[in-house]
Amino acid sequence: MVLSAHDKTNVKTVFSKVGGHIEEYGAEALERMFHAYPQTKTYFPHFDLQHGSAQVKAHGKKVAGGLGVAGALSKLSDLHAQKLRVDPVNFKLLGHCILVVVAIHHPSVLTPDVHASLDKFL
Amino acid sequence: MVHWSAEEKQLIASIWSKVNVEECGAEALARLLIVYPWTQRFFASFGNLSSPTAILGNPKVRAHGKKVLTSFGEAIKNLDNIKATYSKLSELHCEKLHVDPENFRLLGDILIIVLASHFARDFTPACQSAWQKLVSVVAHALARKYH
Repeated sequence: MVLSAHDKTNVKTVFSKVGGHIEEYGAEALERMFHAYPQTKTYFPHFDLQHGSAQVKAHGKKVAGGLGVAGALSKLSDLHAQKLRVDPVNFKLLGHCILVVVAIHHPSVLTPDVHASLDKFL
Repeated sequence: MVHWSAEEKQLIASIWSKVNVEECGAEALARLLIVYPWTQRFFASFGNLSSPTAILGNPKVRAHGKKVLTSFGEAIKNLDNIKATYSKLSELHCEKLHVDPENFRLLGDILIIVLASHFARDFTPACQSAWQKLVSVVAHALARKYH
């Protein structure tokens, strides 16, 4: 999906409002995904997946970081496809959980218009 | 038959008891039409859907959103027999309305996001899981009579 200039502005707004919490939100999105979609845990047998896990926090930080860097997504796509072999349907599940986290912490930022842009971006 | 733990039932009921069906229903349907614009194909007779503002203010969208979420309430009252609850609606959506069942999943996820924005931290991961299960069961029940 192509992001319009308006979409990009909306996405940047979300990132700026989220600010320093982005790593924490990355971890929360992962935790929600593991809880609601237990099949996603199969990709992390080597992780401690309990609430508050340092590994989940660290991975949440990585995920959040990856979202913010324009050029990173193409390399990350290759990595997840070829080395990690993650079924792409799981990215949709994580994307949904990211939207839920933004809705919880910044409901006023997630207007329907911004929601649409962020959904496209994710 | 779907099994619901006592905890899941409690999590669903406690959120539902605080939901403003008219507001949440209207918002969920409006967001569906805005975030996934192809879903507007089912609502050609609803008038002005030309912008997010138009959609959010459209009285037919609001009324239909309320209808849809009220029907959800029926599922919550009949958690142990959602299939039967939605049997006629399933036939309707297939034979008369011709709605791709994928749209039920999309609306379910949008509803979750609307609930999250209203309930914030009360919408815990456990709460979200119970509700994800509910919307999935409802979507499945609505798709069940398709042929």
